[in-house]
Amino acid sequence: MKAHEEAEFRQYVAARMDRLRRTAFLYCRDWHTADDLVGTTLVKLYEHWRRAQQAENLDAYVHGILAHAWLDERRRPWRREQAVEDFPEQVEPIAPPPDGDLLALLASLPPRRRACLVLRFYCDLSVEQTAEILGVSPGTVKSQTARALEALRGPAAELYDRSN
Amino acid sequence: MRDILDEAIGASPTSTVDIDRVVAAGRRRARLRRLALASPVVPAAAAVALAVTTLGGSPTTPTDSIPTDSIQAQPGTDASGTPGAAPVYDETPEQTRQRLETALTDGLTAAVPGVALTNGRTGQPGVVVSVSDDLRHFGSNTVLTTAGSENEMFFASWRGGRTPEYQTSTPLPAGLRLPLTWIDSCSQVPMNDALAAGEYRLVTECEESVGAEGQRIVVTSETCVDCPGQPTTLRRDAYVAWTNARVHVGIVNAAKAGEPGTTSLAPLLLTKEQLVTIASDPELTVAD
Repeated sequence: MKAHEEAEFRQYVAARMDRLRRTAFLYCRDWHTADDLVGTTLVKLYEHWRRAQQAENLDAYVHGILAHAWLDERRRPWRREQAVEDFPEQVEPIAPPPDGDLLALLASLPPRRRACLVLRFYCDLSVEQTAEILGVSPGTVKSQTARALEALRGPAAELYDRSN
Repeated sequence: MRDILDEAIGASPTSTVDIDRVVAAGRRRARLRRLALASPVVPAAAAVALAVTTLGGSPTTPTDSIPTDSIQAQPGTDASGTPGAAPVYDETPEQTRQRLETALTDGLTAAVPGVALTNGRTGQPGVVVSVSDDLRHFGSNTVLTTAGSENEMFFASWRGGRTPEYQTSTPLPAGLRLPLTWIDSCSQVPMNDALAAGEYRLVTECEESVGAEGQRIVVTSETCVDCPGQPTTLRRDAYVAWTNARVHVGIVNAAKAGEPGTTSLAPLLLTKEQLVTIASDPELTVAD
């Protein structure tokens, strides 16, 4: 990487660091893991910086790396979360966590459903961009997002009632 | 919803992401990638560095930590003596290339039924063997994928019985020793390379044996002995020497070799016996 490219890379990272960390935190709910994920993401971004700059949406490209870094990280055997290969046809109501909050509710979602929500509503990516990142069809993104929102709706309302 | 989530997250704590370390790790990986591309064989030292980067999670240099008490070379059967001769085929270089592709594909699919094979450099399906300009060296970089694991395999077949020399079109990065392309015996296994990956120790084991057709075989394994969960072999290499040919097959336990945070800790897809069986196949030789 040439000097001016590295300078651009550093500028981009400085501008996006906080947003990336907060996005990673939404995935894993742990700041140490979030920083690990962001570090992993940035190393990969550095390696493919030229290609990334040619992407139609650089932020979407980077959020894709981050999402996959998290999905890969979860596959490590020492992580406590268990991977879910198949999503259930019926969405089961989620019991609100005892001291629950929105993040706890989000964490209760299956990983790819969680990723759909984060990418769509926190990273402001389109259905198509989310689909491309997750390697699924736009229809799948729509249905996963709808199910995620539906799963959150009841517990979120209960939380709202409890806090008021 | 973004505002709601931002509110739920609260204030971000001080970041521990060091952009200088990110850049240093990126540069190191770019160098290693160039080295890997310059030679069909991933150099041993580079492979060690890859493992260090991957397991440590944070960038380290090959000379950062050298816990010599954690490194073991364990010579096995005495494999001295004259190795056997590989068969000589009357064929064109293209026919040789195709033969090697077929033999490698057959060996891998027999050992790991249902495995998906893709070209490690292009991502295209299948095993692709390339040939050097001087037609003396054939090599392949193949990714093996199953439902639960992904390994990268490096194959090299040299014409003739002499020790192949390392060649690279790029200068070696500072701190990286001249890599080995070949190991004739366990006494050559590097003993002073950095084999510590952060808090984890890597142990290199080496065994020598003689194949059914007289070929000399050296197998090295790099194992993380105290990785969380269980000891995990990250890499295994088989070096098979004939009087008129040499074959190396190495397999790395990494979904995306060298990328921090992506190492799969599932067992290697090939056992030591399977790796030796494949590497010892006379069909994979290019004899003088």
